[in-house]
Amino acid sequence: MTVPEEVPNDERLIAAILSGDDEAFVELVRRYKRKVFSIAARFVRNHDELDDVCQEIFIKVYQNLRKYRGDAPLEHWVSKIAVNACYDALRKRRRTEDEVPLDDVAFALRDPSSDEMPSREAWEILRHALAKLRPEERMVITLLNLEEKSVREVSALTGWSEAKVKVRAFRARKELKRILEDNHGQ
Amino acid sequence: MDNDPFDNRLDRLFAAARKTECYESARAYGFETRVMARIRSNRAVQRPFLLWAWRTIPIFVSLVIFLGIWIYASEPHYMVDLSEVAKIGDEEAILTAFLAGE
Repeated sequence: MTVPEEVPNDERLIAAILSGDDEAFVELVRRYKRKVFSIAARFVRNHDELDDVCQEIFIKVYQNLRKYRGDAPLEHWVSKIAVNACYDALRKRRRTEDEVPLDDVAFALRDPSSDEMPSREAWEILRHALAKLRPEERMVITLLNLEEKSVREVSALTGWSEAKVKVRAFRARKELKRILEDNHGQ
Repeated sequence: MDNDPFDNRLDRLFAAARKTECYESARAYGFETRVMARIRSNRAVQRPFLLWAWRTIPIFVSLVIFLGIWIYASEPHYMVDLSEVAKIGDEEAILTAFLAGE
């Protein structure tokens, strides 16, 4: 009978990292990279940028680990760093990203009565439309509608008040509709 | 807002896009190694400064020793006669006794 290897919990992992154990940090990266990649993939343009942004996020995690107080699960703390890093990346990039006009992207917003749209196609449509939004609009609509976070969670992740999240979400949705309508007509 | 047909379409678009798996394990292959390489290279960048700081310590120690010797050598020195000091001590004691009326 094989004895299952003991998996250290987050507290023990953090203690090990802070005492200089690099292998413990590798384990932390392994544990949270799926989460971080999933968040960052909604904001980047390509796989190279995704890898760069995710590396930056984990370097920030490593550099700020001493500041982690343990009052929230480590996953939330890592997610917050990921969201802030993505927001910074969006702001640096501004809206110069989307060189490809939305018309040139092969897609069609089908009639609601039609069959379900393929998820990859839907994501490509949204990705190009989201690229035309302002960073804060893109951030809020991505977290609310794609990551399915609540207003309170978005507020906690971004540091914006709940009222500001609601206002930005309303504006972002309105702008997104305008972008899609302009490109599809009615 | 739900009466707008475009809102329905937008919601369907979001629902479909949510199903896209953004994490591709093949793309994340070796990611830990790349992160650790960057962390180690950051440490290496910080180290030369520390090494340089440690290497300056002998220079500063030598400077302090040299200054100490130079100050010691440049100041005039007086020979201290301990018997004279003892005499002064005795005189003070005699004077104190006299004043006290002993």
